[in-house]
Parts: sequence; structure tokens; C-alpha cells
Amino acid sequence: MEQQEEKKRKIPRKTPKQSKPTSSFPLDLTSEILLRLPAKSVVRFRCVSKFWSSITPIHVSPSSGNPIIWNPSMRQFLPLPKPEGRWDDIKCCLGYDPIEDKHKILEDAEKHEWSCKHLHAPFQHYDPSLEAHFHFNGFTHAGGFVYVLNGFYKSLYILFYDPEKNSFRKVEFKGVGDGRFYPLHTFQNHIETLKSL
Amino acid sequence: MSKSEKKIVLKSLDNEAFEVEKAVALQSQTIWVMCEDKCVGNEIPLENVTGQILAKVIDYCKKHAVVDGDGDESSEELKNWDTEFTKNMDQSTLFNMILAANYLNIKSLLNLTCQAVADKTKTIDEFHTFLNIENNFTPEEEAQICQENLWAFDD
Repeated sequence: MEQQEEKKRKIPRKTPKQSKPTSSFPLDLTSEILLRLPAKSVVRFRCVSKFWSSITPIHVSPSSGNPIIWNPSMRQFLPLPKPEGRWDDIKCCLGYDPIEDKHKILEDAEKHEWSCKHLHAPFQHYDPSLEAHFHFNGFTHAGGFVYVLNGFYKSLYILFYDPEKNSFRKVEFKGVGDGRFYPLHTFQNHIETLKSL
Repeated sequence: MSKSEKKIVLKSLDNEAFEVEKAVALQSQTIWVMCEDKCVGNEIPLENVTGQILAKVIDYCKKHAVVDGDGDESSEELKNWDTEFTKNMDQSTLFNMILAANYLNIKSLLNLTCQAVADKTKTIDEFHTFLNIENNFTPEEEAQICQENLWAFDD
């Protein structure tokens, strides 16, 4: 509604025929259009913007009780079982079940069909050299798991866990802090961006 | 019900007034709720819709009200009418039709207009223009993500 009101202010008394839309399109309506696109176009439009890239591969909707995963490539919805506990209590990431400590990865395989893998991964990882506990934060595009710290002093560390090889890879970002402790909130997309630096 | 009660006046953002049959207007859930709740009289201000767009929305509602009412047209004909209806709309009009259908809560019209955009939009540039969004990828990032999804680009 806010956006519509914004639109109202910007629209001239008569909309000229060739006018470009001035306000940004509401996200829920963008999804309405995405849902109606053929599979190829959806994937193609991942290149539209970073934000689109983040919303198009899968769509998890926790708002209506049961989580739903959307596979835009197939235009399929897949309802998932309701999580035990409240949404506030669980990590909001794809198919993570904190009760069973399992990650359920839904993947778009070569056949472009849904398949389900159950992988055990540690929720926390202790790094002896840093004497620090990393906690699970999300997934990379390649299906690896991302672990982060709650804060940093001088360098910022991120772990990437490869479930196939069962190995961790540590990435250090030097010169971020000045030695004092800073709390850190990590958002997955930002991690993926940092990775490519 | 007297004759005047069957009519309703819809007033657009730019103060254009449209007198329509109540049955036509009530296809909009938003108007339906307004009529139920507010007792606004028979004039309803629609502050998010311009006259140009509202005229088209009313055309659509009239067509669909008639068909729902006496069923003298086949669903095939109605489908053809819908196709013709959106066929010659430019992107800007479609954009505003979607917003209007959403605001007025007319599910079938929202469905129709979203599908029309999905059918008409073939290139990434068209999406940038339509949704007025900026491509914030660097050329390297764009090349990489296109590379990752290469199967989607060969026709």
C-alpha cells in the first residue's frame, strides 16, 4: 500500500502513454509475474539484478504457516512440513531442521526434478587455531555450507564446508577491525559476495 | 432495490467519474468491502487508479459480469476477448493495470495482466525497463551468473 501511495504522488493527472513506471514494482507482484514465466526465462532473469538473483533460485515463504519452497525452473511449489517450534527460534535457511540437526537440501538436478538429500552437518564448528566457535549461517551457490563468527577483532573469518569432501576451508579478510571486539551480523548473500573478492 | 441503488459511481485519482452497474463494480473485492463497511453512498473514490486505467478495468469487469450473469458467451470466446484485451497494451499500461487489479483485488484480472507481461517480456532489458530496476551487476558478475545458467540462454 505504501508503494501504491508513493505512486499516487508521482503520477501526473493524466498518465502520458509512453511514461515509464516511476515507482519500483511491489515484490509480491513481481513474484506473480515470475510464476507465469517459462522455466528458461526465470533462470535467464536471474541476471536482471543482484536482488533478483537472490530471489529467483528458490523461494521460501514462511508467512502462511507451512513453509513452501518454490522452484521457479519448474514452476512448482513444494510444501514442507511445519517446523517444530516457532519461526523465531529457527535459522531461516533452506530446509534446516534444528531438532534433528539435519540439513535437507532440495536441489534442482540435471533432470530438473526435485530431489532430497539428508546431510548431517555440525551446527557449530570449533576452530582450534582461532579458539573460536563458528556457527552455521547458510549455503553457497555451489551447495557448500557457510559458517561465521559472532564478531571479530582484527580479521574477519568465514568457513566454507564442503559436504562432499567433508572438509573446511577458512577464508580470512584482513584489516577489517582495529583489535577491539566488534559484533558481527552476517547475511548470506553478502558472504557470497565477499567470497568472490 | 430501486434503479439508482443498482448504480455506483467510481471516481478515479484524476477525478474522472464512471457510473457503472453495482454488479460490475462488485467484482472488485476492494469495492465490495468498501460498500459493505463504509456506506460511502454510491460514489467511491479510488485514489490509486487513474481514469485511463479505470476505464479499461471497467471494460474488463463489464465483459466478465455479462458472461457470468447470463452465460450467453462461451468460455472460449471470453478467453479470446481477454487475449485481445491485453494484446495491444503497452508495457506502461500493463504495469498500471497490474497495480490496479492488485489494489482493486480482482483476481482474474491480476492473473490475466501478469500472464500478459510474462508472455510479452522476452529479454532482460525489457524487464529492466518494465520494472524500472537497475542492473547492479558488474559486467564480470553478470558474465559469471549468465555462465552459471547457460542452459537457459540457448534457444
